[in-house]
Amino acid sequence: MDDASLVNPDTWVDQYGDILFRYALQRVKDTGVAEELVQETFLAAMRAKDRFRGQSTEQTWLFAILKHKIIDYYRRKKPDRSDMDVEDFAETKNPFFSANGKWQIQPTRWDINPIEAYEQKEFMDAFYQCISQMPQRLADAFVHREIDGLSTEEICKLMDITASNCWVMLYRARMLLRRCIETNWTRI
Amino acid sequence: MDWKLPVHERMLIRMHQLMCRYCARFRRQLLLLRELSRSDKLPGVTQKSALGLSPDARARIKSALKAG
Repeated sequence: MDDASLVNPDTWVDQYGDILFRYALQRVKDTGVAEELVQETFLAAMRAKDRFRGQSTEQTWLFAILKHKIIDYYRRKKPDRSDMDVEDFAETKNPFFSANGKWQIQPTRWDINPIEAYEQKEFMDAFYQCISQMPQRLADAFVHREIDGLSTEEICKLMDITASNCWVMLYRARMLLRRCIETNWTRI
Repeated sequence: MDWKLPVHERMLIRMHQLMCRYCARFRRQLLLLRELSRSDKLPGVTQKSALGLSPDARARIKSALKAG
């Protein structure tokens, strides 16, 4: 099977348009913006279709592109932090652990499973807000790994970083994201 | 989460997580964030629903795809 047959853009709008729209609408709460994000997703997918290798389903792939677009949208809305330097979040400046290895701020219980998390708008809002407010490079590493599902080798090639850089960036991104969500998520 | 550790390191980590509830909690939270990041099987989104693109939006997007 050649790669061109793995995607079929003629069917995208009818097959995936509504579900992408519903997901976008849950996040951005504006019909016009959600429609634009869906259009941007399909256009980006058209440009990238030759790179789709069938490692995920077409739907999963389109959702990943949409999530990128949603993060960009949140970033445009609140651009304050995303230009901060990665080194501003180095352990020496923002330690997560004390000198004897104990948590500086212990993780609290979340008491939420994935289904409940999707259904809780506040949790998902905090999730996207926090990713969008991370330094760009940390957010990129996290998104490539967790949303795009790339391996660390692939991320290293894409971002032109060493394996140890990649692991440090993923570590910092996850620590920041987890702490940010915990701070900003208002439980009902 | 990112690469396969040697067996003895995996065992050390698992033993630590059995004794340290905060690290065990941290691990569960990271796995939750991974699930949220990757899944596209979403309640209220992927099930059939009346909510969707308007006919105008549908036509506009199809037209944009054809053009571009």
